Amino acid sequence: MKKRILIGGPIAAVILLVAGAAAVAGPLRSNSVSALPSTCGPVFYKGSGSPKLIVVSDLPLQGAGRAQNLEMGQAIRYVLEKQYHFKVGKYTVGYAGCDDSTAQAGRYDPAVCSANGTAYAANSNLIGILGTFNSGCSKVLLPIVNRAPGGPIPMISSANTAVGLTHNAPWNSPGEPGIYYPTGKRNYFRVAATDDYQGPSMADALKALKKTKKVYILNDQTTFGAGVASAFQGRAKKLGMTVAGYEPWDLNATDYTALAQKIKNTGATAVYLGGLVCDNGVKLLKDLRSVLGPGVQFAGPDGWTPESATLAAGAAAQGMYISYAGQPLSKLGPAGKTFIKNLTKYSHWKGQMPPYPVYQGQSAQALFAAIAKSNGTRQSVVDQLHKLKVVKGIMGTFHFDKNGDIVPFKWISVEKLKGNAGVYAFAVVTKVKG
Amino acid sequence: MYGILELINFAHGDVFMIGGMIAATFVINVFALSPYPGIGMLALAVVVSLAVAMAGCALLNATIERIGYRPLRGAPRLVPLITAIGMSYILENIAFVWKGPRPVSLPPTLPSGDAFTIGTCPKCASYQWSQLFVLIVTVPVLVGLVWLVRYTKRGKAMRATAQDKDAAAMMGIDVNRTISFTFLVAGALAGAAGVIFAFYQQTMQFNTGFTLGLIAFTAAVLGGIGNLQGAVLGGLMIGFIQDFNEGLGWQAPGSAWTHTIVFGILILTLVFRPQGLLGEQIPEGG
Repeated sequence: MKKRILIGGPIAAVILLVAGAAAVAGPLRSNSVSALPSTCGPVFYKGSGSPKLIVVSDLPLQGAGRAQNLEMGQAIRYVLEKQYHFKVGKYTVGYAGCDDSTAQAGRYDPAVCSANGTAYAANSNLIGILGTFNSGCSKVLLPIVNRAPGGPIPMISSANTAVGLTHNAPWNSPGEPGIYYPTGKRNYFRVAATDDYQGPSMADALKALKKTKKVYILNDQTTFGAGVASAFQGRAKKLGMTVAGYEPWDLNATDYTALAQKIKNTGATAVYLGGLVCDNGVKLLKDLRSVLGPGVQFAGPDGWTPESATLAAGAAAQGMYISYAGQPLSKLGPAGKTFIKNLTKYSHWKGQMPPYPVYQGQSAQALFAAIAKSNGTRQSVVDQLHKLKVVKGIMGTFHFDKNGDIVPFKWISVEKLKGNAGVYAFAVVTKVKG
Repeated sequence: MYGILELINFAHGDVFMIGGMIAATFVINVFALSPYPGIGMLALAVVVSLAVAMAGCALLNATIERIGYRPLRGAPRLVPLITAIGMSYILENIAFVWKGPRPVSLPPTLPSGDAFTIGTCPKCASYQWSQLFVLIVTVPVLVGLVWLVRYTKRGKAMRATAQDKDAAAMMGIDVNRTISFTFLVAGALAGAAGVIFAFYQQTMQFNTGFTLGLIAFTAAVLGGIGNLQGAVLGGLMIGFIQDFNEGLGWQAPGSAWTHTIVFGILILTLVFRPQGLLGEQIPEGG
């Protein structure tokens, strides 16, 4: 009996070790393609045989933005299945949706972003990344996939707005953007306008819509929040507004009424909240509103989307202006409107389609167009993205500049929270060279 | 609890959070309160929430003591401390599964507006109805606690156990039962605090209790560990320091530095006056 246990023990331990190692490495997904991180779902592919190439999305699929971000995955599925039929040029392509968030954090987790990036870099079949959603996640993931063994992996984000990822700004961290490209090759692109447009546009909106003269600025101490708040501050001063205060809010605080009282004492008629709703934003809004009253205008960047998360603050959130880095869906051209209609039907989406799944559809089309013209290598896809010119696409006519930013039009939209949704309030479009 | 067991119960903040979650459940799901309900409905919701949360948290805390701490009674002090941290995570995860990762947002139910003001507004000090609510619930609970500890047989047994467990046992006190009773009372108080917090702050998240628990511990150390009056004094002082730092217009460091300041005070107190402002009350020889 004792002997059997002695023999059985090591065998069981070996089985457990093997099972554990498999779980850590991530399961081998369908069609025997290389291993993807365990945060990825199964490969979506309905073509013949196995897909030659894999595209992944890297998005936070847990927390406040879950519904919107799952729909972003649906937009990619729609483009791949209905527009490309899993055949991109001469290559068969599959898609896997990967998660960069944790349930505990309710948002992206830098450790997961890093682990995902390492796994992507090791997967020789992986030809492109659609994501991330949060700039902070891209800052971790991008340098890893830039020095991937098979060459920098092309990456297109439809929601990253942090300036430092692509070009210079006074508030950038030291070394940006070069630190994200250790090989020196630019492999990152985005269809979203950046915070040097998003922040100032909200100042324009407050001036035009509310005639704001004195504003108080808060930020959530993240790179994104501090950056967009700095950009807002610069424009607000140029427009002649008095900046009554500029300071961070503590994400772990349980009460903001003292801070609200300080803001009230300055006589500011608007508060700009540079940051994310998941950084205790609901509590912040409630406390600010309870002290400042209904007359003070709140405004924030796209970190306050999805709007449903902000609306959890109830009456405190009503009337708040929220910007997002793209064209208002109501102003899209025929290709955009058709895409929204088809995606809504494909994914059985109920209610008003949020903007980012639509922009994600555009990112997917751009990536697939580049893959179709490439020789199947990552570097070739990157080169094709630099040459790509989208004409009358979902987001209109555009291309990417040498930094990977969308040109020539930089759209920023502003919505006002009203009832259970956001309604279009303002838009700023800037034409730039590039 | 520290007075009796010399255990920093890291799970206590999470018991408080469970109390708040119970209140949130009653406000949102059971009574389905709309913003600013009538006083009758509000009173009913508060009383029922308090009763259920206090009873539930009392039982929860006593259960934690029975299954988590009692078996470790003779173990080195580090062992129950680690267990307490483990219990804290277990409670957080229970709340996480129960209510999800997002903050649970309650409607504003307490009357808005000022109960009274001092000075001429707008440069006046105001005391709001919602703040009065905190006082109305807290004062009777504190009076009840003082009465229980000072004037009842159970309270005498608690104080005796806190002073010297062995001597208390020799005098015929059932030490285990007294410790369980202490946890029962502490759980009920945490439940009441959770209800007050939920109604006043209108939000509760699965991890709310952890930070608040640490701040409460700092307040207890500042006032004098194991000292009831000291805990109240320490709590008030920490509250004032937080609000002055965040709310004053002059060159205060601001909200980004609040935790640094609070835990800096903890370190300074431990280094220069470890017995706290009013002196500690811990077991003899402890």
